[in-house]
Amino acid sequence: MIIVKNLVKSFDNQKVLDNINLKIEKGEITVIMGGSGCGKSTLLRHLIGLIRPDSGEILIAGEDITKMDEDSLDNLRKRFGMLYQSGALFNSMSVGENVALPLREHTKLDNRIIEIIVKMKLELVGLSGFEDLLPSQISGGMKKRVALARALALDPEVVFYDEPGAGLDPVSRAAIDKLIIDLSKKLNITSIVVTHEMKSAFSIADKIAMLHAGKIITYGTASEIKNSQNEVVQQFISGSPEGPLTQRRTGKEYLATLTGK
Amino acid sequence: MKNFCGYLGRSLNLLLRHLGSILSLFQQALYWIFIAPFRGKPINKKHFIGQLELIGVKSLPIVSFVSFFFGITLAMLTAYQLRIFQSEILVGALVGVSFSRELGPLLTAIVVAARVGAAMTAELGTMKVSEEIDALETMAIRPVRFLIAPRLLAILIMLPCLTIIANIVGILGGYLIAKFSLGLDTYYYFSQTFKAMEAKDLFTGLIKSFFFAGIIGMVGCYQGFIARRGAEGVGKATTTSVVTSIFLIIITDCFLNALFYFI
Repeated sequence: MIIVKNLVKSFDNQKVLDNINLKIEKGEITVIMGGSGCGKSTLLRHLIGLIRPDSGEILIAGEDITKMDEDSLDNLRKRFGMLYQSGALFNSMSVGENVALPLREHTKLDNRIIEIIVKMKLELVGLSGFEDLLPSQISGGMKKRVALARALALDPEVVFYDEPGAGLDPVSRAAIDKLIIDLSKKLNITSIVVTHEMKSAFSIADKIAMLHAGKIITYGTASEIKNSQNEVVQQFISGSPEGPLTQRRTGKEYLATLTGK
Repeated sequence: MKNFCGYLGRSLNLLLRHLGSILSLFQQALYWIFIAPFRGKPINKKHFIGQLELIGVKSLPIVSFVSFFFGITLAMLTAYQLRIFQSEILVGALVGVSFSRELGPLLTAIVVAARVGAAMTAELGTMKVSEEIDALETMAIRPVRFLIAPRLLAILIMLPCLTIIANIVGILGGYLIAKFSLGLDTYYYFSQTFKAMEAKDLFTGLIKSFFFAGIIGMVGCYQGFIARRGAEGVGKATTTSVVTSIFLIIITDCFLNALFYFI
């Protein structure tokens, strides 16, 4: 479904993504895992065409999106859904209007039909009856679920999730995880989930790709990752403060940074 | 010296880059306003009407207030000077011409820049930093069409309307002084006013207000779109938006005056 080939991107001469290769199968849940600032959100933004890479290709359904013009990219995006970290609901619109927006913009459906679809999508995320509330009147977990309903409005083939569990209590997080699995199994949606929550990652993932310093260091099923010999992966899984991820600079280097020599 | 030249070069580079981006954004906005609707992609009507109300109707009280009192002040100021030549009767003409040609468009633009331009930047900036604009883009909804086009069109329509109202209210303010302080006859005051005012005064004033509307709308939206780094970034962008708008309005005003009356 999605193939990333030799993707490279730098910001201000710093390589954020360094030769990324990744293959995402249709209908699977692929988790992209990694510490803060490892480039996982940047990778996600490339996949939906918000950023163009310095070099490399991203093939979605056989088409290279890095060379597409805006119009073809728009056509492709109608087949995508994206759940942002903060939800990114439009605060001036009610919950129902938020979910209805993609339908109103991209279809010529009658208003009554749109209202029914909105109800169905909200039911799907367990929030029917909340149509008339404003985003400021609901909790963080509910906002994310509304955002998910909005992402699903056009019946997408692929859904991207940016830190779906961030800032949620354990129960809401588990509820979101379950939703991701259900959607993938029931509707055969291809899901790409960016997260650093190990528990969620292992419970939802068909495949996990671990990103570290702009490179994919491991890729495989959950059990393959668990048994990985890579020290970085092991430290990340165990959450230990000691290890290659947090390696201190040596005394000499530290002195050099301090004195500037 | 070398440092100074470097600073100057970098600032100029930055300025030109901003100017380039703003013009390209303007071009896109014009496309979505004037061309796309005929290709079956109209502007969101509900948003557009909301903006008309926000920019026009809700700015009416403050614009009227400012012009009214400025009309009074201008009449008092000129009456004091004209008294020396015993020609207080010219107060009406002076207020009328100054307002229609210069003060109406300029005062309205500055008030609207502070009220509406700032609100545009703050709103769009907040949307930018909370990923709402990215969300629009991933929903295949062009932010320029959805957010900028209705705002720009609304201000292009409403600013000239507000300017006409400001002219009328300003002239009424002047009339109050003429009537109750100078004791001039109502008919005489207005006949003097309209005799002095030419159609050209009114038209050039309105043309100016179109330019000012474009400046406020584009600077306001552009600054919102490039806002970064949370609440602090939005605050900064809002300040920059108002300062830049007012700066550009004054410069454009001077330039257009020269164009209309001196060349």
